[in-house]
Amino acid sequence: MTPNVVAKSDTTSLEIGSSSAVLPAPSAPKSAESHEANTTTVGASSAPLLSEKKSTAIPIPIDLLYQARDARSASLNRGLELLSQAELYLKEAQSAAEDGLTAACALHVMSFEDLLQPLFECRAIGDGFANVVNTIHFGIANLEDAPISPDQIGAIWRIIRELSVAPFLTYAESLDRVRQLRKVGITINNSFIQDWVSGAAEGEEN
Amino acid sequence: MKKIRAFVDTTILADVLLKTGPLHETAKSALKRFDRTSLPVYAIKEWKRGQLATYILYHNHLARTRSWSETNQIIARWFGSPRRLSTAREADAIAVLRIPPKVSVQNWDLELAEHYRFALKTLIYEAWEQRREFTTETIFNLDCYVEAAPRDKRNGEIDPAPQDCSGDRECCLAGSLRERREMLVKLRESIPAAGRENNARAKALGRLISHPNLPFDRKQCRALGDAYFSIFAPDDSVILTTNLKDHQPLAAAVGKTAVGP
Repeated sequence: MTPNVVAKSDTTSLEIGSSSAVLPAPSAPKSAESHEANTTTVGASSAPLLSEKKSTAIPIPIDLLYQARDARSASLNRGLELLSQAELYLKEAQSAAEDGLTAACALHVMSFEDLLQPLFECRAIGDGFANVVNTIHFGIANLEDAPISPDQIGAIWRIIRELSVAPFLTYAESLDRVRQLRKVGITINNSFIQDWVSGAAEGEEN
Repeated sequence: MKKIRAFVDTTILADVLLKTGPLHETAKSALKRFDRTSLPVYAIKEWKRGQLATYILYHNHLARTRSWSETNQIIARWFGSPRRLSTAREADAIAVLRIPPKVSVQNWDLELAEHYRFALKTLIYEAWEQRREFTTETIFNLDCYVEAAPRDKRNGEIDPAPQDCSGDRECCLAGSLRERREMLVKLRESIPAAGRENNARAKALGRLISHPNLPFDRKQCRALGDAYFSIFAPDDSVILTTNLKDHQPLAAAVGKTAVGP
């Protein structure tokens, strides 16, 4: 059955009669707690969803109202989970680098790299989020197996940590993170992009 | 007179802002050889219509199609370069991202399109932000050209407008050009007869020389191209360019110098 609900506040919460719960959070990570304000509050899935009291308001099918929002919410949950893992790997890599354990550091960085594509797939969170993840992705790939420096690990860790508490940054805000990364040599540009684009424009450029 | 000042042309601007590797490093090193580096707004205008517009074109097709392969097919049709249809290009694009084999990707075509769309968008906006930062000064503003930043359209594409001067008035350089008739004659004589670009340049110069009272519009201003730099390079400067083949004869004709990075 599709539960019918009545919108109570602007965007963040819904109330059904007197019962409420958080939806959906099948595997919400601890780091998601700070984002409770952004989750949709509706009826508890196992409890009765509708109150006995009959509402006079026009019912809105929740799956219609929150279709797009649910998709974003799923990306957010997944994204936050991955960010907390990423933060952990980078912290471990930093620690290993400080102890002079090159191999251990490299292994943690590799584990971090495995998370970049899944993180990018959470781009429904927003363009700013996607841009930061993409820049880190290209930047590390552009290092081409050269060892990543402690400064670079530190910069990425700070940005990932910031992203995990404030994932909804705007695209313009994300450019600031791009500049921070550029300062430590993590950059998007590479010879493939250059050849791909400028190859088509031969004779067009000045 | 000691040449301690570089008058920076469009090719150097392009190499610094959107190239990478040796070309980028060489251009940046070249700028460091000079105490003073001057970038005319004319170079920014040319760059925006040329290299930056190409990046925006690619971005916008990726935004419109959300498909790597479709975008490349469209680009290949526009530019007539069949090598871009090669699937090897897709393999290269994937390889560049170095995604570990154990990470499964559901839809490569979409994911590649999105990775490169975001990359291009950031390169475009970053390059624009930096255009006035890598030389010691930006000079010779153009009254008829609005140097407006590219901006997002509602559909996710980037709007590069304006890419040209306003066409409702005469080119703002017309008066300065007419005052330099002798120089224009020397430049026109130095232009080789062959080539579409050379022909357009000679025609624009010829119009100024032979018919100074006729209006000089933005199309003719664009046709000046490399000649602009020889005409307006300050006396204490050298023209810094990667295109010595075209710049050297023009500069030499008017007693100026063009040097490579």
